[in-house]
Amino acid sequence: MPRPEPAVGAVILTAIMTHLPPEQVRAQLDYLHALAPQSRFVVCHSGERGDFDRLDVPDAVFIDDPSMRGRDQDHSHNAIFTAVWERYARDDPAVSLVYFIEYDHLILSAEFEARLAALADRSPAGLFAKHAGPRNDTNWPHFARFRHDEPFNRFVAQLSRRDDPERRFGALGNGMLFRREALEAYCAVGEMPHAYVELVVPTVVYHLGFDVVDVDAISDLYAAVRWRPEYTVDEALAARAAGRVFVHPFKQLELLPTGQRAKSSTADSRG
Amino acid sequence: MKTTENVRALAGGIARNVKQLRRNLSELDSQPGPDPIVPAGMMRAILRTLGRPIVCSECGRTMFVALPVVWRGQIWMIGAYGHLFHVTFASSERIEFRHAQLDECPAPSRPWVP
Repeated sequence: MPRPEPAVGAVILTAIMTHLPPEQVRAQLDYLHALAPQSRFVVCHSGERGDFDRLDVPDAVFIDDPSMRGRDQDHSHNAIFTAVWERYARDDPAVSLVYFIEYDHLILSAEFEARLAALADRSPAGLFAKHAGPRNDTNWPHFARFRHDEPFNRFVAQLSRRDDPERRFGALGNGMLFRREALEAYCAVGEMPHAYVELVVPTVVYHLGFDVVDVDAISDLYAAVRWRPEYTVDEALAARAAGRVFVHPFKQLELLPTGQRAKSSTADSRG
Repeated sequence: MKTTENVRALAGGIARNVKQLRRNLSELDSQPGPDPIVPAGMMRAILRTLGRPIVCSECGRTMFVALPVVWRGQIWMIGAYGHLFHVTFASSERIEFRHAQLDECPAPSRPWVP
């Protein structure tokens, strides 16, 4: 299948992590393709195998990771990262940035790739994420939870290229933007002790020698991205009117416009 | 006259009880427990009556309301659960707190933070 020309200079691959039924996934893809026809989206489905089999879209991969069907605080995205890297990025050197979003990370503007590329231009970091930063001197519960986890501490100490192997990072698990080299290095690590995605990803990327940057430190791109509470439709519309590019969490996906309506709603927001 | 004595006796009783409570707390096992361990209703009542605003040392905004309790070598920040913040010593006897989420902490370098 011929790939459309990239929307911006950097080629960005956007991976959508979802567990929703196939009808909802297809509706979301319809919205995204209408909104940003030149962007490339990959579906990472970690729900029921039967739902994935009925999905029937070209760029989709089933994530057979039981942790993704358990408690939020036990989720690992490693299987997702590896699948996307091996199937869609590794053999395509043009892909320079890989963007991982949850299904409830609503893209509001066709300009999102240009804005992500501009973000990546502002720092040589390997990973950009919301609320990314060191956690050692904080009350972050996941830092406290894994502080005395011997397998994880040993793993980081053996892996680290830093002078401070005990340093731990945290970040929101949604909306992580990887530079190609950082994702490649992360996936090359291979087997890791199980640890929560919001701890293990920024920590490992940092100890592999890449900088980890909080998007909020250098940009307003994630001004409407938060952990909770959920955005209502009115709030999402207000965010779009205010020029926001992303909203999270927004779960009322059944209300998304599709086809021409998605295009015209984007045009309205620009106008 | 008798009223004044009663008030003094009451105040003395409260002071003794608080002292005893602190002693008891210090003797309790200090193994880390799940957060939060105080029921929500009780937490609200405690914070409403005894809580103190915890202010970010960088931006000056109130981050949350908490009741700091010294308990066997630890400071238990009742009310801090769900609020992410940095902790550092500002001097040999003062601890300061600051936002760990930059979108809550306005600064000249981040004019987009409301």
